[in-house]
Amino acid sequence: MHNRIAEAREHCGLSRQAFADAVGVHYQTVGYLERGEYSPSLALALRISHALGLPVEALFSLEPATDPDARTDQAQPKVRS
Amino acid sequence: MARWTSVAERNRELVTENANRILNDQRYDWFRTPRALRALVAAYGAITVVIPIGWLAGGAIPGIAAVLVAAVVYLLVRAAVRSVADLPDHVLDERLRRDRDAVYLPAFRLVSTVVFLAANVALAAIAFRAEGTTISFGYDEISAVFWTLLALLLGAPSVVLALRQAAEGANGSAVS
Repeated sequence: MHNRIAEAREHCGLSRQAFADAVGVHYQTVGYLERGEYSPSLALALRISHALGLPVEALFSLEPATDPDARTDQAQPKVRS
Repeated sequence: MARWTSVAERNRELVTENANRILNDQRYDWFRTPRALRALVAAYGAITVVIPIGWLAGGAIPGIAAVLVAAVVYLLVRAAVRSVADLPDHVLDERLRRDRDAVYLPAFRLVSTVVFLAANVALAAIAFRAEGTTISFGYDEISAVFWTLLALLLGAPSVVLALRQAAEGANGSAVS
């Protein structure tokens, strides 16, 4: 599973800690998610997409993203950095 | 009934506060590197072997000294893995719960293998002992078995978790 969490989080100006607090996980888990070393449950994926203001399909995909900038520049954080 | 509920709630709050402090504590990140984790595991393995030797060869004083050293190394291993193997569900996120749950089967296999091998060695030692040798089983021998088993049982989950984290090479950082 591939994801664009890191790009979207950075686009929103959120630190790992702020993002972790927003989605209710430990800050290390954010690192695991961003590196693709952990695939989140559906509930966590939905919380992540809500926190970053993007649809789930813009953040997660089965294939690597062909256009690295696609859609993550539309990220609208629902949390403060 | 209400009193017990309030005690339980307070206990839950204390566990949560303590767990959050442990999980977010970055003071010990220097011994969360793969090399340091492996060194801690090796130290714990070594001291677990020294405990029965201390009790059986030297008696109570070397035995208790070995137990005290084991307790310190055990606390260091636990701190290195942020006590994840021992924390309850409500303070862990889904990845940490997965990591915690995944260590118990390998830990059980580790402990059962060590106990099985030790029991066989003990039986062989009894069966093939020299003619006329007597085998006593007193306070020192019981202490050797008790403290070694305790060290194995308490330490195995955190040891397995430390080895997994060392293999992953991840030490985590809140930076960025």
